Amino acid sequence: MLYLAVSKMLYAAILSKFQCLIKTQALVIVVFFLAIPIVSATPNDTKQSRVLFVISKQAAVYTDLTKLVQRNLHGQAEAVYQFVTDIEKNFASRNLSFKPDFIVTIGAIASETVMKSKPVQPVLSVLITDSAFNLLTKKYYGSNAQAYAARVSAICLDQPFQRSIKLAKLILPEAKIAGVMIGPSSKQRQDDFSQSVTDASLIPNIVNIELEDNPIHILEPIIKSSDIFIPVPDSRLVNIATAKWILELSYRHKVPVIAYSKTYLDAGALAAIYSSVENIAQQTAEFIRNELNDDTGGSHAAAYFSIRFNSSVASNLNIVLENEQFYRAALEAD
Amino acid sequence: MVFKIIKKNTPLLLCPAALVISSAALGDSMVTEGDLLADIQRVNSVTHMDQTLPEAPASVTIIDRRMIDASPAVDVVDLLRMVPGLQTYFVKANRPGVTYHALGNRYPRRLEVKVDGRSVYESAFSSVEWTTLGVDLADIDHIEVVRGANAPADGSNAFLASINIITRSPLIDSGWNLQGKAGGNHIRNGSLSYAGSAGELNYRTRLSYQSNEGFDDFKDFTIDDGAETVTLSFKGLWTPSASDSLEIALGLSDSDMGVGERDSFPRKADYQYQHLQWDHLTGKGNKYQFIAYHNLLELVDYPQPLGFYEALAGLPDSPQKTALLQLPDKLIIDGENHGQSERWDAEFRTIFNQWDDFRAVSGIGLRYDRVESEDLFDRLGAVSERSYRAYANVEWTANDRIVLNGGVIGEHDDTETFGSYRIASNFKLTDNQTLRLAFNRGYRAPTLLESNQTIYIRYDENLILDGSIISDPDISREKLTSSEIGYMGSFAQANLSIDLRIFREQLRDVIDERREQYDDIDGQINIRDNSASIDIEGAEWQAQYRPNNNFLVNANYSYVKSGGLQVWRSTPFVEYRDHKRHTPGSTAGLLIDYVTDDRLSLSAMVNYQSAMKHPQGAILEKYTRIDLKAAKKFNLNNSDIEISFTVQNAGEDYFEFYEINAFKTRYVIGFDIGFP
Repeated sequence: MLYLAVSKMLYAAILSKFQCLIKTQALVIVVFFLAIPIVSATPNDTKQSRVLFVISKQAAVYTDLTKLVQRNLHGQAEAVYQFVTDIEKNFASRNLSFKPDFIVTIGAIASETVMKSKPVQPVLSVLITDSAFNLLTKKYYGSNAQAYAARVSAICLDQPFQRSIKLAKLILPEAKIAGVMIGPSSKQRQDDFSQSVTDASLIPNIVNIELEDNPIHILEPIIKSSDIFIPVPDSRLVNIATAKWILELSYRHKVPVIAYSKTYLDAGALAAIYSSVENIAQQTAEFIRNELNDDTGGSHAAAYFSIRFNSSVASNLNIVLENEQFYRAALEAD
Repeated sequence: MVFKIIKKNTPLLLCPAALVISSAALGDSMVTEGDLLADIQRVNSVTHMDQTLPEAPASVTIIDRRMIDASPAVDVVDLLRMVPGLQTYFVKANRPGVTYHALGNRYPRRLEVKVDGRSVYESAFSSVEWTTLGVDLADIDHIEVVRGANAPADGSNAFLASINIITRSPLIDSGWNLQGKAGGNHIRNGSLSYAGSAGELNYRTRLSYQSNEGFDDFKDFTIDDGAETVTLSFKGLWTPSASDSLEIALGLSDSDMGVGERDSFPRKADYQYQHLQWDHLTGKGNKYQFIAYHNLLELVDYPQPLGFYEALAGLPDSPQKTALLQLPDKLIIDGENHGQSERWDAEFRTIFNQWDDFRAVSGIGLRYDRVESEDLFDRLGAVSERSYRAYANVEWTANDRIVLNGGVIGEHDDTETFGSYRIASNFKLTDNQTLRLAFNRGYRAPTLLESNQTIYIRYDENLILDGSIISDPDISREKLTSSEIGYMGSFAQANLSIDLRIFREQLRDVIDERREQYDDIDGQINIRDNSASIDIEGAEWQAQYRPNNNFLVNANYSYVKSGGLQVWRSTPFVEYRDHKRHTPGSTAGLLIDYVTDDRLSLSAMVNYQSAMKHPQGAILEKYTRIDLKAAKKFNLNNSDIEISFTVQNAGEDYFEFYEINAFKTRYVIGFDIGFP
């Protein structure tokens, strides 16, 4: 009897304690779940990703890109991300004060400043050429692979050459010979360019311009003997010094030029395929949304691109163009 | 064609300066975003820096190849009717005058005109001899007209505005080209050109012949102002390396034309020029330029010879006449006046382009002018002048919205040193709209002619029969103060562009002529000195719509209100005259062109000018002139062929400058054959 009485008392006490415990836990759980949205709305929540944009210069092309990236992330921008933009010379102090989870560099100078400090956070370089990214990763990380291991990535500004050559073939299906200009910064890829031209069922007619060369003397026979001409972007000096002559010679010999920038198009090229700020912003936003926490970095070609035509040049060359969507669809089909 | 102003704004293009990345820190071998996105070529007449129109500190009208092809223009001056505020007129059929807003007299002097950067402003007349320029319409790539003072870039001759005619590169054409025009007014124009290469030199050379019979006789006036001009021109291009280019231009022309005022007399003009420009581009985007040229104009006028007794016969009897008749008869106007005008000019220019938000151009130049004319200067020897100039123009992109421009020039000649400046702020209202505020303070030194002109009709060294004009020894520089509000907009995917300018210009110490008593047979002489003040205000706009490659509409309108006083006579009493009617209140132009898919071009150009009193000319009624053109292009045996039919002034006659210069309807047929 005594055993039973003690057992009942003990059971009642345990039950009482357990019930109390259950009530407390339930309360804690309820409070916890109630607290989530409240806490998540505060600016210091550790769940919110801090993204630091480091721009090369305080200029429209860079600041516009940061704004467009944020706009591309739609409503998530405020809820999930916290953005700060600063110019590259303030990177060190801003990195300390803001403590970003992720760094986006915009422009080559910003990339160099950030890579030089080898931050622990993942880094994405945008508005940078493939050539600049490779040079910087080798300089500061030893190799591309080591940079990728340190979670350094890039979205390259330059178009894949295959895309330009395919556009050329789409515009001028009867073309047989494709002239290509390369320069000091791109000549090491001559074999790649040649292979791409051949892959497009065209005969490569490649000219290498060195700074000490007479550009007209070297360019004219190549342009004259080509059905279409594609200048590969090189250093600023080579690009500007040759563009005028290329366009004038193309006018003289009625050879269309497929250019790599809108300004080249406006100056007299038939077509241009390039990444606009909007294109780069879209891809950057997607990268932030989907690949922010990848374990390794990587170099990504420009996924989005713009195609524009110069109708007066087309008219002068008697070339009938399809609408832009036709070429875009064909290029995106690859 | 190759040149194209960047009009279609995208974020990338709106801040091209930002794309210029210094490669110093990154190594020259690396291609940066700046390399890919750098601009290729833009307007540069305003500051000598490549700028987009929304960045430029002044309003600029571009007449490009598309507009030239569309227009019914027969010569270069016809094209300038498409520029708002610019007055074009014909003092004689082959003596056109061009001015901006005001002072459109027989020799308009306050407008700088350049061909590929070479000033063609002649010292002998302090004006531009358009007929001798040797620039064929087919040679022009585009024309940049800076509407407003442009002294900080082009010197004091660009007092009211400046025009730069850019000729086509020798690289654009190849093979032979034959052109011809014939029609009313006995227009007979023809040219043969060849473009090719000799070794590493690319060149184009053109031989052209132009002739017309000028205006028809009008009532009792015999007008003999036809012209016949033969021109040989050469333009060569050599690019020894990717960073260096050398352009050479040479030309010779020989003209016989009728000149004068209401009367006419023959003039033979031989003109030659040599022009060299070296450009060096650095890896950081900077540029060095050296420009040197030489112009030489030799003139022989053949006025009607006049004998001493013949001249006296026209005078009323007087003791003075009786005394003069005691002298033996002789020729006092011998019927042949020789003149020469020569200019040597050299300039070194540095264009700093390596910073993203700050660009600058600076230059130093020296010039030697020499004129010789016994008729104009009453001396046998030459009058010459050395002048020096140094200038700088800077552009600072303060932020995404604001571009600030500043320019200053210091000029020194044999008599004085002076400076002019310009400041401008361009505010980007939206991505495709810009508001500009600009202020100019400029000075223009008297030209050799203005400070040395002395025209006497002499019996001999000691006896002046008639003093016509002399320069005041205290003549000094003119002063301009101007301010403007400009607006530029680009709409409908940049197919529609609008440019509006509201301006106020104050000209002080304007060099003109006043009448003064003088001890000669008519008792009067004109003194050239700073005798006028002019206030100008108004508004002008231009709009262009190019929805596609087939259709072009270009419209312009200018309203100018001018006032001010000129000392008309200083002795025996002072008399002032008003400048009020010396500018047309309104001018307007409209060019419409439609090109069919099979390359038939149909165009119409309408120009309107309200009534005005031409300074030194006549009071003329308002007129509307309609020009029409139909041109068909086709290909035959690999030759590009164009045939055209142009009607100039397809309506009632109107008058140019004088009430006797009746511009009648002219029909002109033309052909253009290009042999590859």
